[in-house]
Amino acid sequence: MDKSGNTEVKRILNIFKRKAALTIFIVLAFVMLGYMYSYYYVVPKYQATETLLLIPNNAKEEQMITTSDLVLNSELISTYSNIAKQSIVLKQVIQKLNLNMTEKELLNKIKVNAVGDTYVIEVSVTDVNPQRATEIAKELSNVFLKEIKQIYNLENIGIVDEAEIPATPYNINHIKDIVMFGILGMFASGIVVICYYLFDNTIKTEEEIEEYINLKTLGKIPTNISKTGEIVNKENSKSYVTECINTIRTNILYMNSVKNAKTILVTSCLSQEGKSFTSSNIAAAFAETNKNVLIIDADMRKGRLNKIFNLDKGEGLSNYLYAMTENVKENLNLAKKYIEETKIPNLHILPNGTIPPNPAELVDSKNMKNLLEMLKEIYDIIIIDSPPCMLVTDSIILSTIADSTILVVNSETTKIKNLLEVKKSIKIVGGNLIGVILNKVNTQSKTYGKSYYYGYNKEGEKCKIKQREIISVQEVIENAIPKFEAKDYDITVKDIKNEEEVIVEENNVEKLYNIQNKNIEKLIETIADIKVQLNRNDRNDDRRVIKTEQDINNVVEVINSKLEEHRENNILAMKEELQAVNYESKINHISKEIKGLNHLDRLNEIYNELEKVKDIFKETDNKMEVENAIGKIYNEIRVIKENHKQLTNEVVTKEEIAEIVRKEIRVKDEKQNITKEDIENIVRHASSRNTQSNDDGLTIKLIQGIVKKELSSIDYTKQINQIQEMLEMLKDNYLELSNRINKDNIEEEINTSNSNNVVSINLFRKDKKKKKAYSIYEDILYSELEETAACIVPFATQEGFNGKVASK
Amino acid sequence: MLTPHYIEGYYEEDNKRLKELIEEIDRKIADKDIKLYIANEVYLTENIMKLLKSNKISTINNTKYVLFEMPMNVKPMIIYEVVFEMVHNNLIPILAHPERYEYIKKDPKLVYELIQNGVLMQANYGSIIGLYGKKSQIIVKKFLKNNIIHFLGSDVHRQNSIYNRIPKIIHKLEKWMGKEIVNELVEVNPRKVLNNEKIKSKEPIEIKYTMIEKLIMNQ
Repeated sequence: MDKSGNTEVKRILNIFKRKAALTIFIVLAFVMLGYMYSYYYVVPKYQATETLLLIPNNAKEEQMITTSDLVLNSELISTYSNIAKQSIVLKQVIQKLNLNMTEKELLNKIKVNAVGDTYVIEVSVTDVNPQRATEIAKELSNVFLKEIKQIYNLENIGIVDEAEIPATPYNINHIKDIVMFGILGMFASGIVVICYYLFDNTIKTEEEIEEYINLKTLGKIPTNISKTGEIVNKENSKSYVTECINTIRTNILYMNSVKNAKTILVTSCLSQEGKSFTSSNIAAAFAETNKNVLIIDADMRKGRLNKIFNLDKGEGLSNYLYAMTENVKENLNLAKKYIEETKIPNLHILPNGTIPPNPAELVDSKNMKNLLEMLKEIYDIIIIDSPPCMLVTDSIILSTIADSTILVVNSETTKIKNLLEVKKSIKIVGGNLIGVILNKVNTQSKTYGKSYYYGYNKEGEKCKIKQREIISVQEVIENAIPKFEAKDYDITVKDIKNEEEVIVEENNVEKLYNIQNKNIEKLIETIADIKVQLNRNDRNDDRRVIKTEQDINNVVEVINSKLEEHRENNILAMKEELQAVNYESKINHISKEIKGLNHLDRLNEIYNELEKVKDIFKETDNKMEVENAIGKIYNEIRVIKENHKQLTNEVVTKEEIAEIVRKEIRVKDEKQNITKEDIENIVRHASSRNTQSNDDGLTIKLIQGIVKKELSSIDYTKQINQIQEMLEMLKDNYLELSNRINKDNIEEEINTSNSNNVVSINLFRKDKKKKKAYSIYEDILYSELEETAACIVPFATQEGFNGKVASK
Repeated sequence: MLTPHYIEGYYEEDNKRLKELIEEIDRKIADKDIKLYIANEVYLTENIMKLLKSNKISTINNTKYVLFEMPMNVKPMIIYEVVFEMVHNNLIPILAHPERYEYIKKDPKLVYELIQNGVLMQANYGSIIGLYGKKSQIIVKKFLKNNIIHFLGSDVHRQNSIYNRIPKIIHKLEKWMGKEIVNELVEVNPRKVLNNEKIKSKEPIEIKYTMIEKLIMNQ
């Protein structure tokens, strides 16, 4: 409240300041008026005064004056004075002086006053002519005295002071008049200022914007008188308006550079304030600086950008928002459909489209956000023309999505109150209001354009910069596609890693191997793509803005040469490294597995288990217990069978791996020239290059990751030794295993002829049908175990068999 | 000293072509005692260093002095950054006709600040006799009094009659300010620029408007 009060006072004072000339003029005018009034308008009048003294009759006789007398006399005196105004007196005066006036006129000139409570009577006569005034005064008093003497029989009466001819008019005081008028003038100017304050609460100058609204003025645009259309930059003319717009462009660029903003929302308080004009011109100005610019008409109700750019009203933003999907690539294709080219090079437009029933909801949708995010990748600058803030909520919503918001303010029509309100609402939703553009400014500076500033002669016009080529929407979008793909790489790499982790947890070697193979292929493809992208980036280098030029130029040169040198090597190395990495993990994984599966121990366990079962059979006749025990053993056997299968596979794969690793080591030896230092250099350069461009970032991250992995990779010779050791161990295991099984086989040769065994044997057989592709070892093992199981069961049913088993 | 405009994106004359043109003129006026030096009047842009490095624009006679101008109507926010960049790169920027910018007329604080940041100022001869308006005339006289101007220039970009009037203007100035000071502006400082020497400038005095001047300037 206090603050706003301050602004109000400030405003009044400012109006005084701004209108200083006017206020001073008003005061001066009044003073002049006073002067004129005093000297010319007022007719000077002169006043002649005669003073008479009356003393009552009885005073002579008694020599005493009582208070009652005094009262009586003072009353009498007023009566006397009235007599002077009677027509008897007046007539005589007119007659005597031959005056050319009626009695009434004369009466108006006469003033008869009793002076206080004395016996003095003043007879004053005012007239234009001082002489006549004195004559009348003299005559009047004479006649008056005569009359009084006659009526009241007064003796002691006489003239005290005779009238003299007055030198100066009595009714004129020049100084007083002028001062009075001056004060009146001040009041009048005060009233004018208050009128301004009350009736004209609009923004006029940039100073006011800074003072009242506390926003920066990005620029001002004079009233446009161009006849050639609304885009002033189109004809490459350097008029005053163009210069204004270019200044706005640089100022916006400056304001945006702080926050790296790309999307600029142009809005205003009310309609008809010049949003479309301003936004389209700014867009054209940006396009002039070789930036790819997109202008979006987000005023889906009353947008008029199509008109400005001479386009037919067709589909556009609203249709796009409805048609958008989750798929970025599809959206990109849609962009080709809805975004149109303008006649201005580098400037594309997304028109407003068909009027939707719910523009505010549409603008507030997730699609709008996604769309802007996507378009940001495609274009360098996006300018959004939007509906007025005070009428609909669209712009307020958009201000949260856009990087920066600009308000177009109409000089002398936009109200301060409205501006403050809009600023507040944008602030509340968290929009970034960077400044104000003052539109329709009345400047007398038209002379700049015409007379002496930018009036280039014809020769000057010839050396204008070359016409730029019009870039099609398709080209722009296709140029931007790598940016989106770069994101995809990131995802694939992540996915691959996740997948592998999941599979490692599942302990499925084969699956892992297959998927890893696939992944390696994917990665190789990715690398090829990255290579392509790198080449593309090299081509695009020229277009980038380079800040501290020389340093970066040097760095870029170094990087380019380094990259050139190492590109081929790198990509080969990357392929190999990737393979190496994957095999490494595979080897680790397998070794873990091998450790986990100690077949010998397991078999021993099973053996013990069998022994136990035999013991049980010696002691009990419980059929259920026996069956349970058999089930247990069966499970154990299954596990062992599976392990066997894996082991056989592993032996093969391990040998393959060992071969590959050996190869790799050979390759490594060959490219010994890539030392650690070299790689570190590349990483360093790559990361410095990374600061220069975002496009390379991903590539560099990939390279960095790979190179780091390589740096920290395990010594391959060690690895091979380990693998060989493991292989030997495995072979030993196998040998022992087979020996053991053979022994068992001989020991437990038992007939199978009992009908009670059918169920359990069938159980085994069913399983056998399922698993046919067992190795010889397994087959032997299987049949043996089957037999074992078969022979165990009869023990339980046939009494007296115990001794036989024991002997076997 | 030839200072053609260079306005990025609109009026870009290649430096090579400029050199050729100057050579051609040189040949044509060989019999006269006139020597031509190359320079540019660069319209303020954030790419000014880039343009200089890529030889698209030229400093004054390839010295460390750069002549530049700004937009006329609205104060460019980027000005401090660009000036800093130039000074940081051991260049000495010279601002052309400070008395002609609208925002400087309204609030001349910017000029004082720029001088503090290492910018030198060049006024126009024409401003002194009111060719660019009454306001410019008033302010240029204030500038001259307050040691803010370091050079005087003709600001000629096409056929113009200002050269005929320059002797008179100089004479007027000499009467008003003294021969020594005018000589510095017209003779000493420009020569120092050509020879790439440093210019010793007097301490500038900040400009303050009287009430009447404020009234005139704010109109």
